[in-house]
Amino acid sequence: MIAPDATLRDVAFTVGTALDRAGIGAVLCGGSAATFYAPDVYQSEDLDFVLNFSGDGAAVITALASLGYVFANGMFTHPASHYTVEFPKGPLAIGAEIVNRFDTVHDGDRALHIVTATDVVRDRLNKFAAWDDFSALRAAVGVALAADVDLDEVRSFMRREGQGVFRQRFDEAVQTFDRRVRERRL
Amino acid sequence: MTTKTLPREAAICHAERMDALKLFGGVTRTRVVVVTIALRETYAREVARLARAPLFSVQRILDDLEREGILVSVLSGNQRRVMLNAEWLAANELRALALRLAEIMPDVRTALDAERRRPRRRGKPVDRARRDVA
Repeated sequence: MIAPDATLRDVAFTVGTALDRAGIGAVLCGGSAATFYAPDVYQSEDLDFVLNFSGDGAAVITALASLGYVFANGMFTHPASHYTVEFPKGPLAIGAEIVNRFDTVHDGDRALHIVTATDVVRDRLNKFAAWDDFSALRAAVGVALAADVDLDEVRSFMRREGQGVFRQRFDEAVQTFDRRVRERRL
Repeated sequence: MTTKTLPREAAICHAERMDALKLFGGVTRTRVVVVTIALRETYAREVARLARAPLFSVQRILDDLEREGILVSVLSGNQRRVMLNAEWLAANELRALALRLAEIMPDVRTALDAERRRPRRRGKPVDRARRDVA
């Protein structure tokens, strides 16, 4: 059940486990995944799950209804919690690249599928470069400092993503990110 | 290897000094330049909010910078959006400096880091507790 004081991490485990037990493959992604890895740095208030294979909408509604969630206006809301749950349209992608991997984390008998910390950093840094969104930069730095992240993979992705006229913008984003990670400047 | 850290009082004093930088002629002017250029494209009211400066002063400073050719502006509806003049001779260097200063001026960094600028999916609830909905 979802308690009023449940953290995003608690809600993620509860929802992820309910989906998993219903045979629905769903991966936590976006800002909620950043909050999962770095809760002190970045606060998201909704959980985005992408179905990693053909998801059955009715089965999702049934699984979440068992936890008290109500589906309306394209999202699930819960009377006891301000965290909403959504299922953005897949496939899971960061920039122009499809993501085929994820981690499974456990908390007792609960399980949650979540994008890797490296992919969270790739996603947030891509958003900083694309939109000058400093809150996304802060999330990227926070996750890079809190979790095990392959920074070389992040840099290669940014080089691939920042082609042509976007080159300078993406290089600049990586430089800013690297400096803040190096200086541990949140 | 030993790592030395500044005493807490010295660190706070250092942070305050960085926030009070007068690199571009005055504290407010410096904050306005850093915020405007770090954001790449913005408008006076947003700069005033993030730089914690009076709107009137911000408008005057932005006008000055535009007259000097450092900024350019475009009218979008009723809003005048300002941005760094990409053709100005030191545009890249100024942008790099602004990003660096935005990191080391604690007040400015905190204000920028709290600002969501990426698009929000249509129909997604807006910010419930003045916090990010990502």
